[in-house]
Amino acid sequence: MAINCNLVSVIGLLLVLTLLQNPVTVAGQRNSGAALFTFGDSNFDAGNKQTLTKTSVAQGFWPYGKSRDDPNGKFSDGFIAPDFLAKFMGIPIEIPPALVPNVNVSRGASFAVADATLLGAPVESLTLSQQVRKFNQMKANWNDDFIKKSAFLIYIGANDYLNFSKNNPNADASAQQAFVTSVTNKLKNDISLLYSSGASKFIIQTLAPLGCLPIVRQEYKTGMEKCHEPLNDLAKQHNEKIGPMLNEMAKSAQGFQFTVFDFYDAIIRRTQKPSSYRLFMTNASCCGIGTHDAFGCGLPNVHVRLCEYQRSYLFFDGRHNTEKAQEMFAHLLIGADKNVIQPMNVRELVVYPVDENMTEEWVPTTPATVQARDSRSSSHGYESY
Amino acid sequence: MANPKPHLFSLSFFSLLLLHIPTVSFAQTLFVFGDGLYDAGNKQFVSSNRVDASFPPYGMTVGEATGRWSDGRIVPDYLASFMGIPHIPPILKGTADFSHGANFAIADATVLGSPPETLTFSQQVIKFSDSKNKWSAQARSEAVYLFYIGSDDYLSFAKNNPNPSDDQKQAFVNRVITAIEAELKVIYGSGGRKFAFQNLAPLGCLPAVKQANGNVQECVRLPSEMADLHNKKLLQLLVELSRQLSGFQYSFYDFYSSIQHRVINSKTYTFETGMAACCGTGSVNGTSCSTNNVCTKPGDYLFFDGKHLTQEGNLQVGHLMWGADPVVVGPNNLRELLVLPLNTSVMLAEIQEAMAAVSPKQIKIESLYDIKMQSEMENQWLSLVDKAVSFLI
Repeated sequence: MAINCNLVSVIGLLLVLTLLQNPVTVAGQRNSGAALFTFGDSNFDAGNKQTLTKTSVAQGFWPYGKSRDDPNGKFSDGFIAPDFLAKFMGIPIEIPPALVPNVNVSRGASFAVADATLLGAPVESLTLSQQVRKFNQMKANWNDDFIKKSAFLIYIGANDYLNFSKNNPNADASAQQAFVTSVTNKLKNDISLLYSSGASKFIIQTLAPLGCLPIVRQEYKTGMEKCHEPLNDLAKQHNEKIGPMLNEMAKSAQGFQFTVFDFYDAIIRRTQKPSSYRLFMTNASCCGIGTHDAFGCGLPNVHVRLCEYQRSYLFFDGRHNTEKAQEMFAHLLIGADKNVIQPMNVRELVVYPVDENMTEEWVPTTPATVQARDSRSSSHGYESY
Repeated sequence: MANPKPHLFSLSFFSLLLLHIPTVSFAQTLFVFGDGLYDAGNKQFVSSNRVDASFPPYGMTVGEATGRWSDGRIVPDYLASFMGIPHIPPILKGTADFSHGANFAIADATVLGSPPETLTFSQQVIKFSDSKNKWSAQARSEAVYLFYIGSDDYLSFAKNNPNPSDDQKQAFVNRVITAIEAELKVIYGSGGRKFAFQNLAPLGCLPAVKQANGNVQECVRLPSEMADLHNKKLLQLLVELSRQLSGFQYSFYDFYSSIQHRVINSKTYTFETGMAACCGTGSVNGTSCSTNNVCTKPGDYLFFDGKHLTQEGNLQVGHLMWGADPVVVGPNNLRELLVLPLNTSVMLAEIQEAMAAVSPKQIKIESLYDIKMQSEMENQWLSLVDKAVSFLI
């Protein structure tokens, strides 16, 4: 009799313990309760720039925002990728600019600022480390558990390389390498700062093929067919270092979780086969003037050409994507395969148990790894929950 | 367990809606109905008095007064350009080339009553019916029918009824909407399928109206309120017609919000002011536009005269109607309306209905992203997607 009672209570206890084990087992991507924080440059700036400068900023004016009739400081004709990603994550509001007073930051915020860099001191902007500092200053808005399970999306470095290229047009291979090393080291440092602040889930978006941005093609006079390859090269050198760097960080920091979104390839694919993505124009902008319509969108004294159907363009202005393209990127972020975002997509990252180390790592894409991936069985550690 | 179906649905449906043909659009014919906002020069043929729009400074930006109530192009002109066809000429100009459609709009047109020296909406539709053999049946069924009508009805109502009860307001709106419904059905009966509506501006914000009401700063409440009531009923009408009438397709552009934005935040939209007109006299230049009282830079103004937009204002509206998101123009923008195959509309109506059933609180048009799927509705919608996708070109 006594033994049965004990057994029952032990089983009962075990049952209760298993239920309490993993509160985040439900793949509740719609109501994950997590926030989305974004850091970086103008790609993710949700309206912060205007708080740092006295002059009016072009992105605060029509034709920016033309798809929603709402110029609001975002470099787009409407929403930017984080807004769509937030929606897919079950967050019911746009990700607001953290530097603007009285915004609702309960589900995350954007600390990104146009012109931001990793190195140096950009004018009327914030480096990534300064953005992290701002995040720390505002930490009282969220509790530590909330931060730990939230997603931190970072896109930074483009301005470092654009400036470097402009200032060092004849940099040789070793000078480039040295620069890339210093930039990526700073990125690693800044991500560590964020990790120390309590963040544990990082999404790093690789740099776009900078040489293919319409404003770059226009400024370097590459013509319609070509990109400015030296800048693509720099971007590639930078991007190659991201995955291995994060693998290392994951090994040495408890609970450090990350994924790398291959934005470079996403843009290249769209420039090479536009019609496959229902895009019509990928090498020139919808709004601007010049050979590639890339300059001056939103500026007061510039009479820009404005395309009539921005949804078929890849770029809205000289370097920022249209709302339609941003929506595509958000779809890739939330749910694409490892050839696009790895080692896991954002949906998987957000439900990955907090404080646990990842079982997978980032792998460079070679024909061998692609084959290995395809042939491997489909049971991954984190999917079996 | 992650359910990818809602995203698949929105993606597929959006793919359907975003058929992009680089050079040619399907519809090459545009018919325009309405009042002074869309009048391309009809007024001078029915008026025994001098028609201001036929003389400078009207047309100043394009170097020629054509009878358009603006310093330059009007919305139908921009939409025609985006469609790849020439500007649509006014029907009363006998010598014009109507191969791509005709413009029946005329200043001071109303839905109800019989005001002098103009054509009511019903008379415009009769004119269309009388002249419809100018165009093939196919052209008429593929054509876009564009409408902006009702503002003069509500401006008269507000003038004659300074303190109407809510019942009186609603009753008048109902009369206007019922009359509109009848005309739309006539056009539908002649083969028309693609109906594009610009809803009414917040009429109280027109400089002429503000001036007539003594108060220059704020928009006058009653005319704007009537416009708002009208706009809500109009959208309901279009949804209803899309269910009732097989093949009925529509585009509903929220002009009301566009004007509000530009009056309140003029500079954000590149205008120096959304209060005063460029041309005219009085506290906000709301009346008597002439060469003696016209501004030097119409592009800085939202309003050209007391009731009508500048070319710059019309250009922004054209862009919005043509290519903006459902939050501005829905369920299709003009570009999508043009290429929507003629027999997919039934699905749109069912989806609209399902949307309304799932989210009864929403009055505004929502993006199709926001369809909240209940699992029991999923299968029905998925089968609709299959049907819709089969029309993809």
